[in-house]
Amino acid sequence: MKFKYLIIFITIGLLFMLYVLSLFTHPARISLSDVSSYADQQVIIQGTVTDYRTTAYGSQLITIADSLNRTNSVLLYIEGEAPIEYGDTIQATGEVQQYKNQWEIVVNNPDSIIVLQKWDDLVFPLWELAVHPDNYLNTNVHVTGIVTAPSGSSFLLASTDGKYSIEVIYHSSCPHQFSKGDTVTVKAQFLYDAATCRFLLSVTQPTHGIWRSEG
Amino acid sequence: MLDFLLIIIFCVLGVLLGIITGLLPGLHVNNVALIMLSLSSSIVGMFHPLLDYGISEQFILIIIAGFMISVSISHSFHDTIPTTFLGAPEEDTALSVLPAHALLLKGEGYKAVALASLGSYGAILVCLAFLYPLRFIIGPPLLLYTTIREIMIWILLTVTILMIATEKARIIDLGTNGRLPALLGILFAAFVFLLSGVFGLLVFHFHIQSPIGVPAPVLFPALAGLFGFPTLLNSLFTKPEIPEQKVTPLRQNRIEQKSTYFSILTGSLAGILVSIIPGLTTATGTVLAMNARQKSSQEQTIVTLSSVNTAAAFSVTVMLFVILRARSGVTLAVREIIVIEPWDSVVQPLGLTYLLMFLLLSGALSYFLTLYLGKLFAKKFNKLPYQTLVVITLLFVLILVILFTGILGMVILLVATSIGFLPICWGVRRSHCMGVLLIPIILYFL
Repeated sequence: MKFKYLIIFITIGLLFMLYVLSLFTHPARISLSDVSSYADQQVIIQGTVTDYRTTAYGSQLITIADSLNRTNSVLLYIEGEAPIEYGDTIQATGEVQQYKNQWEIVVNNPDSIIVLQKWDDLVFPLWELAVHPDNYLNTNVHVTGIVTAPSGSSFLLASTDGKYSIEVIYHSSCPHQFSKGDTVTVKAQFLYDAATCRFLLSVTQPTHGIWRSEG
Repeated sequence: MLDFLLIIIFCVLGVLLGIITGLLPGLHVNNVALIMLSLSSSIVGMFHPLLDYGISEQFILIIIAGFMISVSISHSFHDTIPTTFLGAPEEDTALSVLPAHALLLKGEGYKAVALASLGSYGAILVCLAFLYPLRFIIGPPLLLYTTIREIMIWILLTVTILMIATEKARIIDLGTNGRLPALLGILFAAFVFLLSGVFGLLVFHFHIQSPIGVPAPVLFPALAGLFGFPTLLNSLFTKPEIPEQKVTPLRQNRIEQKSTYFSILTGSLAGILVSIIPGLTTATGTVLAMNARQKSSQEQTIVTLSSVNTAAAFSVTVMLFVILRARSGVTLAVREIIVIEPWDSVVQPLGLTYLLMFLLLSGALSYFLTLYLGKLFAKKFNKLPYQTLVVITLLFVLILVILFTGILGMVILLVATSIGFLPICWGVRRSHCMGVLLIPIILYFL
């Protein structure tokens, strides 16, 4: 057989071999603290969204942190925009690169960002916030508690044992349905107000709200 | 004064390094950038003593970035020398001969180098002339880049269809009647494009590691295999007879000159396009630029190709400041070293002004040095053992692939070489192998 015909079959055979080989190589699944040892390699990483913004050119910068140790964080650079919110637990696949002396993970495709858990799927009692505020600061949270001292556009949310309380401020356009003494679930962003040196829950986004708990 | 002196020194150093990397066959400028990127922190450390002379750290970082840009510009000029003098096939048996090789086989290798450096230098001047118009068209207020982003998928598809549909090869294996040979040529071009695309989709999932711990770019063995290796192997097997080379200064009549200007202009515009649109490479850019004109000679193809190459190297630096995208290895390295101030007002950022000085100076230096070295090469070429030179080049690329990408890189090189032989054996354009980048990017935008 002439070489020019043979080379077609050789090429197809070699491509098939490459395909089989590709089935055995996957990116490493690493923890946030190990990023620096995987320079220029594809990795899979998980964390909670603590910050995100879109640049003027349509790329997105997401900071993810370890849910148990927020000082462990990594910046993700996404070519495009992924539908994420503060507090979501996400998984990203991308290449580790150094940019201005900081490690970041470049994700070429927003589809490589998988939301493992939406922030509002995880409901927890207020005391969890009180005991580990650093783990939730600036993220969206979904907490339960009892409404006390309602006034205008804010109220105090107290834990069932009355030991902890936090101010909830809400925008009237967000869904809210409660009266004093109700047990409610609140979807809000957990913030720190430096002016008053206090933590607060801010109900301002379309996905936020206050609902009466059933039962 | 010291500032200006430092710019000149660093530019000359960059050009000299660019000569070395450009003359080494098979070493792509992006790989050079990757090596520099991994060394960038030690390079910055090395020049720290300059701080004692009252030079700001920011300026030191800018001249290091400028040094890298000078390397890339010098590389884009000088790599025409090995691509002209190495890898030519035997003329009678070859279906597709690269234009520079065609001239080499006529004893006009130096002419090919001279035309290429003319194209490269012309491209720098055209890009400079287009600097401000581009800034306002691509960036605010016209924001063409935003529109381009929205219709990127259509642009990429159009480019692909243009590339394949304008294939001129005729395949006569199934008959010579009517339109069948031309149709088969186009179908085979589509086949090569598709195979390269599948190859691209597969290799981008590989996670290769360098045995010596340097960054391992998966594209290095892929591109060396698709474009470099098959050409060199083909040359080795067909044993071309290279005639004695003529070394006469480039002379063009008025019609040729006009044609050259046009090639430089279309080549530069295609190069600028390459720097804006992801997935377009200089090979694709050249096909587009060549399609923009109805008839063309080998000479004009060489001018166009080198214009596209250098215009892309120039324009990626400017685009780094306009659309804040790093579209080449060198700009990735530059972005790593200096803080990029977006060019959003009328006056260009100071950083860009310095880098433009490097671009212009290194372009002018490289032009004359390429002519000088090309002449030297053409004169001494006949005394060199051609086949040995090709074997050494092949071994050199092979060693680089092993050092950078290990065993897996060798496998990638093997598959890529096999794909790269298809266009050579069937006479279709080699640029169809660029499906390796285009198909993954088209799928990304879908």
